[in-house]
Amino acid sequence: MRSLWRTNKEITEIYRRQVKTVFRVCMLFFYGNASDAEDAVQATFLKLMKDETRFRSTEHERAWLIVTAGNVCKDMRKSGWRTLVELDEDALLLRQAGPGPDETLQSVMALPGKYKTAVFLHYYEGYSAKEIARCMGKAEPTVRRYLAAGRALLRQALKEEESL
Amino acid sequence: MKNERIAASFDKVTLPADREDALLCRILHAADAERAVSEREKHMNTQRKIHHIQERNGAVAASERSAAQRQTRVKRRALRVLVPVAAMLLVLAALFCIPSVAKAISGWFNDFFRVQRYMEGRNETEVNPDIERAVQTVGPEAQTYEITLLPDIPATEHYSYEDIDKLRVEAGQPAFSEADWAWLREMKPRVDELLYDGKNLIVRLFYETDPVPFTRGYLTGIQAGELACDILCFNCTLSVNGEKKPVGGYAHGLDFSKWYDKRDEPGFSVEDVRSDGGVYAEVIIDFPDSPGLPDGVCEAEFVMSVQDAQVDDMGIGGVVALVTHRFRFDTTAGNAQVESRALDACAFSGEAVVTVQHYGNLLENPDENAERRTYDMRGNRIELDGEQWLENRLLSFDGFSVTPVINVRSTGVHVTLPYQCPESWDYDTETAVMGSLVYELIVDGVSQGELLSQGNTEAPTLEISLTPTELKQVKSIVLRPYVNRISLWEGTPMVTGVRMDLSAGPTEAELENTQGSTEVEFEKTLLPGCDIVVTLPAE
Repeated sequence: MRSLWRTNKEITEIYRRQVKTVFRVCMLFFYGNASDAEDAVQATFLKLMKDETRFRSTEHERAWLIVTAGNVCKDMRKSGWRTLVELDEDALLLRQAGPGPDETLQSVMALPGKYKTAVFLHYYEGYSAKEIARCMGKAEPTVRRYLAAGRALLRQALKEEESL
Repeated sequence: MKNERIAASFDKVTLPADREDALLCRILHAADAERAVSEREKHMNTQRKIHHIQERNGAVAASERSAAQRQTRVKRRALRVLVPVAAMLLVLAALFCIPSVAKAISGWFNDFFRVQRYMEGRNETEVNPDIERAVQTVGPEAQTYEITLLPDIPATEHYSYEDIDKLRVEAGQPAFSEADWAWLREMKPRVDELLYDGKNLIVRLFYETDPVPFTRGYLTGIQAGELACDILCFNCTLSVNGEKKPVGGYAHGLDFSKWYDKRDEPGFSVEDVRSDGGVYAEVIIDFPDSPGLPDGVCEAEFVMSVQDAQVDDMGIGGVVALVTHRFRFDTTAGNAQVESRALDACAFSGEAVVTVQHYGNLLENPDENAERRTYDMRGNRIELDGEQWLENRLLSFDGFSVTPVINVRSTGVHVTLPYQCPESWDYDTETAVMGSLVYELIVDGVSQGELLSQGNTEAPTLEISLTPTELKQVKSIVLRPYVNRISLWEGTPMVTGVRMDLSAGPTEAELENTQGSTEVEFEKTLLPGCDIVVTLPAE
């Protein structure tokens, strides 16, 4: 029943293992704004400090961090952390800006928030829909819908169906 | 299923190595700050709880104790001559005859006798003679201060001026300019008072300066573009008789409690705070042992950080100056006030339902590379397998006993409760019992509510906010033990004797919604016949 926060040493160990992944997730949610993404990374690791979950493996640890980072980003955006325009407008702005240095990445960033985590976990981390469902606390069919919708939006954005 | 194209795109998103280190530094600093805040909140919650308890029973307790307390009350310095004590008591006695007024007065009355008035900010009309005696004023000859603006702060392994300035710019603020912050050099800091009671050291600092920038974030919000500052404790070191003493956790922060309740009053303006002529800050150190410092002269160095709250009011990025206070105080008087006595062992008996939580089985040959993180109740790091369950179990308390040790300090009574378990109890049972036991404080037959346990789990400590002078008027103190058990776990009722398997665990599945927190409800059961009578010091 005892509550113990993780020590700086433990945070540092996990940080070294997972920060790149967490940063990527946060960048997705903040449309490549590194400053906001770093704030979100900080908030995610502070949540980790206070959380008492005992990770069974580095995979479990990574999944927890990805989902938590996604939630942190969504919360930060909801709370008006930065004066970002609404999601659809963001997506529009990104598309209007034309192909950037990485069109695929921009298209993923432009996905609605609920699809991003699922797409990241599936297409980058290689998780199955069942595993994503466990991580996100969603029903497996819901995750499949997220992935299908995310995939459709990406196809539309990239106009290259064969690659997805 | 990985997608090569998406994976290749994501691979391009990377945190540069230098940013990785800087961000880690920022996170660890923020983590330290949150731990410090948490410690302070924990401390303040305890005080608030005790206050709340006193308020709940305020009218009764105040009426019963008022006659005795009259003799002990000492008026505040400023009022000592102006208001005759007898006249004031007559007015109070008359007011207590009217229930509604009595209720209103009782809150004030309890505040009057509450030692935590010192800790939560003093009201100039209230005083506790024991606290007054314990407070030391550090003479000007014994203290010095030094103000160092950001560019002159020596770089450490964790940060440098350039790092901090970079964080300022990243936060959308202008780079540090000495011209903007030169006013800090004009501040006149001093150690105003300190209290050392053998267990706690409370240092109250005063900064003679314009207080208004410091009120932002405390009494008002922080608007973009306006000057907003904060003061935190950056570091503190204590040496007694030339030997450095470790300082564990400490709570710290500015103290605007005097103004806090007034901020919503009509006509209040932060300009009113200017009448203080500066701002107060407090640093509270709770030593793990008692006495916390040996007898002798303590050389103290407190480094306080002035923060630009527009950048970060807690993190390293907000630092604009350090104020180093050096001062001395004698610990002998504080230690001398500690009166310690061990009482006879109190044997418990009877049965109660206790929630036993099993965190896993200890691995005899743990994998050194395993990342499972947990601790036993003594703080040792251990490795466990994944078996987890909860069970409400009817438990006999026969063979369980506590041997109270009473410490009377100028700030209150501390009751430490080392315990002995029956040999039949396993680790999970012992952990469950020690996590479940709570004590109701009963003073002169009147319940004062539940006390929160502090200290380590081997010897929980309860704090009773009665000072030595007040104790003389008290006839009896009883601690009545109860057991808290979980009655509802995530909406599922706990049935005694039925084990709830948590191995698969809801933690992963509910991460998104709960972020690891669990919804539980508790029920409290009295352990009859197990009262601990706290024997008071002899006259």
